[in-house]
Amino acid sequence: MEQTYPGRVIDAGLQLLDRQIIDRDGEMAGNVDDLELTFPGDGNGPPIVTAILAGPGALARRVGGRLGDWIESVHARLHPHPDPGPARIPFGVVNHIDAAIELTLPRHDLEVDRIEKWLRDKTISKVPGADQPEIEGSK
Amino acid sequence: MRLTDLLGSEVLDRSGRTAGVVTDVRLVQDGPVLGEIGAAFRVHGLVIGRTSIGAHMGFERRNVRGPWLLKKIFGVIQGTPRYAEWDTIRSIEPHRVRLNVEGVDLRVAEPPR
Repeated sequence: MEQTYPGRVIDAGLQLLDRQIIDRDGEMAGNVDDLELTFPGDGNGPPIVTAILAGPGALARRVGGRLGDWIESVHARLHPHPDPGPARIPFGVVNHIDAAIELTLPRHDLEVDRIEKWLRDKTISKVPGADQPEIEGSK
Repeated sequence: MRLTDLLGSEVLDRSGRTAGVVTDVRLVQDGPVLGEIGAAFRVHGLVIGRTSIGAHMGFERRNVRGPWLLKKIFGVIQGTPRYAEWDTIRSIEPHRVRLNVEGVDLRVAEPPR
């Protein structure tokens, strides 16, 4: 007899992991690199999905090994926080799950975008030529 | 805990025999209300296969019919997936999940519709 479930069923690895995240305005806002699972307060019962984890802080542990350590190390060096974790998107702001994960927020309100902005302002913008608006011959 | 703490973990049955590895984590949307999406997704159980290689390509899904050669190859590599509901989990340790049932008693994992 086929199993019945009390609600919508998804296989997290197949249907959530690596999916594109789309913000409220249809802009790309990263990928689902991991999920945060939280046990109920009393410690009894199965955990629930409380957040999407994205960016190199989430990817490093998933990749593992030397490459994972390297990603984590680069992420830690470039991050403004001394002990950075992965960028966290609370699952409560997820609006729809399909081929992509749609959010109710604009990307500039997300932690993943704040890290990218900090990197752009503090690191990339200091590279000689970074202030050039266009690459020559790109038109 | 993170999803990837579970994926790829070795699964041991009540007798300590290997039942496979966690190839996926099945969620059901019947938890407390979280926000726009409504009810939270709760972990319902673990999909267990012989190996996690190719597990997230979806070839085990009923509605994926091909390419038939790849479906055959991954079918042989992965074996028949089994399903362990959350209640059958005795403990979760780093890279290892212990069950309170025998591996032979696990039912075949039906793909979600």
